[in-house]
Amino acid sequence: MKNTVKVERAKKDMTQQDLAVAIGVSRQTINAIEKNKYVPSTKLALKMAKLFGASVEELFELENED
Amino acid sequence: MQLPLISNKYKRLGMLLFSIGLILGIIYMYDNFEPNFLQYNFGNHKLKMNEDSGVGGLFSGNFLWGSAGNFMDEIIVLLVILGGCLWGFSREKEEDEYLSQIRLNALTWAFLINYLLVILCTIFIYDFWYLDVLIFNVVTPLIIFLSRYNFLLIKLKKS
Repeated sequence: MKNTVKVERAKKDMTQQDLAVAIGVSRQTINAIEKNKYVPSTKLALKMAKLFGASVEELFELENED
Repeated sequence: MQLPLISNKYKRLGMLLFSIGLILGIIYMYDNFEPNFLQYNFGNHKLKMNEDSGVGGLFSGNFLWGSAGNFMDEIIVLLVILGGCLWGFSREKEEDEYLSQIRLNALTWAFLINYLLVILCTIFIYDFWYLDVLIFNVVTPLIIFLSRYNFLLIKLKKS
């Protein structure tokens, strides 16, 4: 899976720490999501989408191998 | 996913108990360190009788009553297990779902490596030496879990 979290975060001018605090996880978790090392739960994905004012599909996209 | 974890304030206590237990355990292993004040003798048995009472185990009446020996080994096992569980299963300051995944990864490793070790020991170690394997096996899953978990945690903190 790939995602546009980093881009959306930059648009909002937020640091990883800001985003982490806003959705209640650690900064390292945001880092892992951005590096595609961790696929967040639906709950977390929905929280991020809500924060960025986007849909989950805009944030996350399936790749061929998924 | 919510894992059943205890409060973060027990983490340091757990580390302390585990470390004391581990150090005492290593000393005990090489030196058979048994302080006199921990000596016990219940019933009419002579000291150390339970050590040469042979086969029968649980069913031969070798519970606390009617047995004799030293409490040092019991204390070590309890310190390591209790300390390890408090340390390994207390919440981090910032506990979240990614950490749950890391915990599960460490648990899977601990389970698999532990049984791999048991298989190897079963094939290669015989007779009374196998008893040592069983004794170590009381704490190995916890030790492997803690090593893997803390390794992943340090790697995560560096990222």
